Amino acid sequence: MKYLLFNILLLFNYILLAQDNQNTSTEVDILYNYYKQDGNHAAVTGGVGSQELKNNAPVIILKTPISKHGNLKVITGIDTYTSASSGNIDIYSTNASNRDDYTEKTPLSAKDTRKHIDATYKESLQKFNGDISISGGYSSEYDVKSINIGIGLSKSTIDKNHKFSFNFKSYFDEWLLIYPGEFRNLKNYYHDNYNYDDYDDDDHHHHHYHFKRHKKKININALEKEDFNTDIRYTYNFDFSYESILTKRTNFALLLNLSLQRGLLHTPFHRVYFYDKYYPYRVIVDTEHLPNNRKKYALGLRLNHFLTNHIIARTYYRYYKDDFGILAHTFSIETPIKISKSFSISPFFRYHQQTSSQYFAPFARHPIGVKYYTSDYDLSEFSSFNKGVEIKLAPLGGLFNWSTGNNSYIKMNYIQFRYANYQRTDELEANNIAIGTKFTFN
Amino acid sequence: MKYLLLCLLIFTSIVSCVEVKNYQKQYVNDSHMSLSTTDLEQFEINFMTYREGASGANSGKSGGGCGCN
Repeated sequence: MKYLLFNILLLFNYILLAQDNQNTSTEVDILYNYYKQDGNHAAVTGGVGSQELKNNAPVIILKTPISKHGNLKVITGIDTYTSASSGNIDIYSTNASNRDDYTEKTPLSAKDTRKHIDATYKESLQKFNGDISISGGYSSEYDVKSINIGIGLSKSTIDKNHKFSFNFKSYFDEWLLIYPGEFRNLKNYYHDNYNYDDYDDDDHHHHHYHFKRHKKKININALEKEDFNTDIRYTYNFDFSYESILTKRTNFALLLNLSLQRGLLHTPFHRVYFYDKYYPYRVIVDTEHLPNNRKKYALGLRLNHFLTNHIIARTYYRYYKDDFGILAHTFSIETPIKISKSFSISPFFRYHQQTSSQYFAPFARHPIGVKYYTSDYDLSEFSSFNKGVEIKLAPLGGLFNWSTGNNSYIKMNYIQFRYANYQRTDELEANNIAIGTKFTFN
Repeated sequence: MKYLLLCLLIFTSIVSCVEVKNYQKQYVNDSHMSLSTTDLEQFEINFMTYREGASGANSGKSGGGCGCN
C-alpha cells in the first residue's frame, strides 16, 4: 500500500512539472482488475488438486509530454494474489503448511504481492514521419525479480494510411530456486568460482566448461530468501507490425512475433509423478524439468470494419507455433454497438485451441527415463472459450470537468467496465472484472 | 503456414494501393477502430498468456517478467 501511494505522489509530481513546461495535456488512467480462477490440475501437486487463485491488480498509467516531440508513459501497480496450490509447496515437509490457511506462516505461503513499474519514452521524428522509443521496467515478487528493457521504431507513410513498426524487448527474470520441501536438500547447489553445472541452469552455452558440484545444505524450516539459490530466465521478444487503412470503413494490422527464451524455463516447485511399468505400486516423483531453450513464433491478423453507422466488427486471428511442440490457433470477435454518441456496449468472444507440448503428460503418466517432463496443464492440449461484455460511457466533453484556474482544468474523460468468463476444456474456469477511467489535466 | 504467409503478402500488396483522404477517415479514426488492445483488454491478454501455452502477436508480452510461464 505504501509503495502504491508513493508511486501516486511521484506521478502527480510529474503532472505538475509537465504543466509548468508544456501546453499540451497529461492523461492519467486508473484501472482495477479482479481475477479469480479454479480448476483441478494444479502443477504443484503433479497435475491434480485445486488451482484456485485470486488476484487484485490496481494499475495507474500516466502519459505526459516532457519535450516538444517527446512523450513519457509510466505504468505502475501492485498485484496481490492468493493461490491454493502455492500452499502445497511444503505440504510434505513442514507442519506449518496448511492448504486451507492463506496466512503468512512461512515465506512460502499461499499469498504474495507483485510490484511493477514500466516506463516508455517516445520521441516523434518529424522528418522521418515516424517515432522512436526506449523502455525499461522492473517487477518484484517473493520468488521472482525481473528487469526489462526495450526499443521501438515506427514509420508511417505521408498520408498516414500505412504504418510499419518494430519493437524489441528483453526480460531478465531472476528466480529463487524454491523446490518442494521434500527435495530441498537434494537440489540446492551453489556456484563456486563457476565450478558448477546443474541441469537447470542457464549455463548451457558453456558446454565446454567442466564444473565441480558443491552442495549447500538447506534448513528447510528456516525458509529465508538467503537460503535459496537463484537462476535466470532470459526472454527476447521481436515484434513487427504493419497497419493499413483499407477503405473508409476498414483497417487491418499484420503482427509478427518471434520470442526466444533461454535459461530456467521450468518452475522449480512443480512436481511430476512417474509410472513404473514393472512395479505399478511404486510412486516416483521429481520436480519439473524442461529444456533451457525455447523458440516461439506467432503471426496475428486484426481486421476492423464499420458494419453500419452504429456497429463495428473487430476481429483477430493468431497462428502460433513453438519448439515445445505446441501449435495453436486463436480467433476472437468483438462487436461494439454505439447506442449513442457517448455510450457503447461491446460483446466479445474468443476461441483458442492448442496441441499439447511434447513434454507434457497428466498425473503419473510420464514413463521413467524421459529427459524432459511436466504436468503443467497450461502446456497441455485444450480448447478455451472467453466471452463477455464491455460497457463504456464517454461523452465528448467528458463526464466531469473541474476548472483549476488560469485556463487549466481536470476532466474525467470516460468510465469503462469489462467482464469476461474464461473456460478451458480441462475444467479450468476463470472470471475477470476490470474497471477503468481516464483523467486529463490541461 | 507458408501458404498463409503468401496469401497475406498478396492481400497486403493489393489493398495497399487504396488511398483514403484525411477528411474521409471519420470511421477509421473512431476509438473502437483502434488496431491495438485497450488497457482493460490487456488484463485478459495477460492472464491468458499465463494460462495458455501460446502467446505473442497481440500487444502482450511473450513471456518473462513474472513468476509464470
